[in-house]
Amino acid sequence: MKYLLIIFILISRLIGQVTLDIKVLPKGATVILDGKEIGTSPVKGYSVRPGMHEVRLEANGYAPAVHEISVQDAKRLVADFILNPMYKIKFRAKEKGLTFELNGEHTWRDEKIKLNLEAGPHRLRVYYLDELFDDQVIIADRNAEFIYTRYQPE
Amino acid sequence: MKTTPHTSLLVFCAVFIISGCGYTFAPKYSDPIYTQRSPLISLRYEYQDIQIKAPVQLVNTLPQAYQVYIYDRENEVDPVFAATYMPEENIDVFLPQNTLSTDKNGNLLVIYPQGPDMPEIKHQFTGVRYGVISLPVSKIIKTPAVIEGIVFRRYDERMLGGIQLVATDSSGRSFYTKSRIDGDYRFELPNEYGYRSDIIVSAGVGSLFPVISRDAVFNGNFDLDIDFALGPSKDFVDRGNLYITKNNLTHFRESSANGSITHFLLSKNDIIAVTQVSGNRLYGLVEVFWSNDDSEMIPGWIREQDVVYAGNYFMSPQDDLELAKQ
Repeated sequence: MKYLLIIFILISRLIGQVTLDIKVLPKGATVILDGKEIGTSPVKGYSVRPGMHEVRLEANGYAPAVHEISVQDAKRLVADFILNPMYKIKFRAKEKGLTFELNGEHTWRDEKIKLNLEAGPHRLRVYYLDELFDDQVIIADRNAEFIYTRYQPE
Repeated sequence: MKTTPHTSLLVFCAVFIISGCGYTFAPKYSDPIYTQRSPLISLRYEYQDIQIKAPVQLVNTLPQAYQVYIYDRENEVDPVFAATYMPEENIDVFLPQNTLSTDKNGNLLVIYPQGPDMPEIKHQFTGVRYGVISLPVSKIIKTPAVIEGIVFRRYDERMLGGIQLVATDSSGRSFYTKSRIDGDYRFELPNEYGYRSDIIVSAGVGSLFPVISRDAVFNGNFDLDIDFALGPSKDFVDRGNLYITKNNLTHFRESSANGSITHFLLSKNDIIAVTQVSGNRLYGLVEVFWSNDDSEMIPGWIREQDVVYAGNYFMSPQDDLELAKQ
């Protein structure tokens, strides 16, 4: 009777499960599902119940990613992720006495600084004596040196 | 190529200068700076099918086609599936995953054979998320010609079980059934009888009750309701002691004398309510039924040797089945 109950519980847990495959670029990213590490990518044949699940992906040299997936009732769900790389940017300003702010939350006053930027556009604001001096978008697309010069509209 | 320490120093200096020697002592910003951009993601679902196998067996008929519908039993107006199948095709239904109710018997499959006198066939079944569902074989039979009704004792309207009934056509082909304990009986005759009017149904064959016969006239009506009241009426039972005839063709005469006029010949198990006895001659009444409710009592004479005393057989409280036995 006890074994029948256990079998029944196991079967009822299996019914309605969806097989989840997670593939990530780059390979070897750590996959954390609903707060539990389930392996490194690619992950194959992991069973989940339909509903909302949180996937967190971490890999060296890439921005960590958190994504909510609404898993529908299906036989299998294959989720492909492409993580954003991080680039090393050498930042240098030609003018002195400026305060730099990136994406509204990171600030520095150094004329030269090494930054670790996620690939993509970043909003750079420049202040001089606490007044907005410049506002422009810079794009990180490779390891490079960025030399700041004030934006000159045409 | 062989390198000397001098050469290595030159190469190091060159790389140091080219890669930006000015950043050697530059500070490093403490945190990585993210764009808060979502990663590129693609989700691909794989679904499986539901396959429903609904085999049919044709019994002396061939429909032109089948209309097949599947309903969620909570909505029997809008079908989940509807299609036409030819008789030579297997009825295999393919549905996407998760389109059926998984409640117990939560789905209904209906097959409408296309052709005269073929009733629809319904199957309730429990759905699955995906996989194969095999339904029982559906027999496609033309609508039978049905005769049904009840058999009861006329004396007290008590239902009679175990009474033999026979339906016979004009060619002598017979069909048999027995009444159930609650008096119900049912004949299912072949479809073609639904267009005929030459069937006679008899009840009480082989029992103590006189056999009662009725015409079953279908004429295109496939469902006839005929009730049978067996035995004498209460009024008749009160008229005298009951006797039953032993044999067919028993003379029921106008007077006690041998050779007097015969009113009619009685059949085996006909009942006489005897009121007077004169030697070996008995005087009494015979009840003739023109219908279940219309009867006439006819007086006459019969020889004592042609009858047996029936006692309380026709009004006894015995079990119906016992009563029906010879």
